[in-house]
Amino acid sequence: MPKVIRRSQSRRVAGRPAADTVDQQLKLRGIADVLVVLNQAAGEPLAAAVPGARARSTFGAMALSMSATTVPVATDPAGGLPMDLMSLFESPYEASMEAESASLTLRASGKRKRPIVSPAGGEIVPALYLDRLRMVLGSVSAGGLKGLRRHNLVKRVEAIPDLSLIRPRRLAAAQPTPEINWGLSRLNIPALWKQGLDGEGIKVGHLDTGADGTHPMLKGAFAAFAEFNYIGKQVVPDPAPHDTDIHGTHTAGTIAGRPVNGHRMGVAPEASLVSGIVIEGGKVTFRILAGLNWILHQGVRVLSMSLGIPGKADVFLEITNVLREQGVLPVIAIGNEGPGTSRYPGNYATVLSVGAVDDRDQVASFSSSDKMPPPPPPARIVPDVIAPGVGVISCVPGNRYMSMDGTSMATPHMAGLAALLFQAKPGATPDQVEKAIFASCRRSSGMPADRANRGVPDAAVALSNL
Amino acid sequence: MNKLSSAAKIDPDLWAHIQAAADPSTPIAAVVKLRAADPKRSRLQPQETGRVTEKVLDRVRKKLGEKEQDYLVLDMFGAFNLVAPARFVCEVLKQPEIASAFSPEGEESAYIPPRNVKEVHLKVKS
Repeated sequence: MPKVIRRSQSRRVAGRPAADTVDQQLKLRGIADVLVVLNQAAGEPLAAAVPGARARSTFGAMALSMSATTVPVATDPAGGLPMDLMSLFESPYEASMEAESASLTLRASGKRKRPIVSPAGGEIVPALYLDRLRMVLGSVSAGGLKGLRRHNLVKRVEAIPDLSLIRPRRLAAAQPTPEINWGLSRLNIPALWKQGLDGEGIKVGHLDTGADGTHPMLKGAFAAFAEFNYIGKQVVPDPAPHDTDIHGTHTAGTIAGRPVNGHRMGVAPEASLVSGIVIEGGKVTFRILAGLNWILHQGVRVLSMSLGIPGKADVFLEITNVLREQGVLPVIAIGNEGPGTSRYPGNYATVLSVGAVDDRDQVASFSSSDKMPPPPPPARIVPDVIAPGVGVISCVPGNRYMSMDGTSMATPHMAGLAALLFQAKPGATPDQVEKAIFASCRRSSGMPADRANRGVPDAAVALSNL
Repeated sequence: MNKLSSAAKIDPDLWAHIQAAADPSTPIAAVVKLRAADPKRSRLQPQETGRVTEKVLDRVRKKLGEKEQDYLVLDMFGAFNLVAPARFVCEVLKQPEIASAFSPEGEESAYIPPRNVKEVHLKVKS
């Protein structure tokens, strides 16, 4: 997915007259915002003039609007400028990256300097380097100003004119990812980890868009992988685990993602995945049926299906019965179309249906909920439970990570929890595990019964119920 | 394709597809469930499903002198996926081993699009 460039903000340097000078600013504030025009031979690319300079931004394009004229300029905020030049800037020009997708962290590296660094670490951005304009924007003290004026690459130093600099602020939305996803804590999953439950020995079925087996979170996580053709025949030879989209890798990561760099996103990080590509392409019903049939040959205890077809139809009803009879608990998303809607087979009585809750304990507005007519009587509310489905961070293909919202994201949380419970009690039936989960649920004030049904499970309570 | 006499329970959508076929050779998709040999059971046993499916298809092949386009045995469900000319499907549905059938058509996707998708980067621990 390309980076989304938005949230640029026009920031006018408040209260500063257009005609002020660098020296006036220094006198008033002890620091001055300066525009440094670099020396460059006519026609010579800056990259050649400034050793190490890169032509394009590593973080994303930025736009500069000067006076009344807007001049979009690609910049390189890290600059690649010589260190002796960069070191003259007093504090980082808040060359905040706008890409919502980028997660930058501010790292204090001294009392006065707060260089912006990339998440990979080490990419110092002391000033905003406008490569096409051959200029650098930054803040300097009197000493830095003196150094700049003497530097052989500097043609001149000016006060920043009364400009309207279109640039994003420091990233607000790009918080560093927590070491443990909020959803795992909300479900009290770490309490089960502490008891040594990690899903080891449990196979979890995963029918989705596939999953990227090369992602560090999913390496070694697959017990089996299959792709099905239009009628549901397995593609041979068995393909390596891959994703036709990003959805399946994300959901697989939530079920059984291994820890990466200390970040824990998988509920059952030692569980094995039995993953099949059934979404998209061919006849979806054929492919889902084939995937379910294949799953039943793989010895799984839990099935996670973050898929569904809008409406009510009993096409898969008997099959979900077979899953239960074969000792498999089907955990299925209810849909993202809001109140009064649901998808099948997530709305069947024979599956554990999952809606989404956010980190404020509110049912997500998009989370489907529905009243299903009997049989069996009485009318049932779906979903059965709600689970973390807003701001869920997990892996996506290409060694990347994404935050997503959806009941598709809530479902693998519950599948992972069921895997932990099956590990704790291998002889348990799907009904027993489901009952234990249901009995652990609690609803808070932000969870009306007709939207949340039983509410959010608690892993530790579910284990004690088993 | 205007007449179907079958003891099987046929989904109206499938019947509509068969009837709407421009000619008898138009391919039709169907999920066909086999009748359990033991009336106490709700479905055919996995080990019998492949055999009965092949028996039914072979009988129809011989009768019509043509083959299905493709099929897949769903052994765990006592059923099979079938794509075949409309007249072939129609003949299959008349066989005594067939309990029910439905159309897999109509749904192009089961994908539930996620919302608010944002890329994030892990903070690297030093």
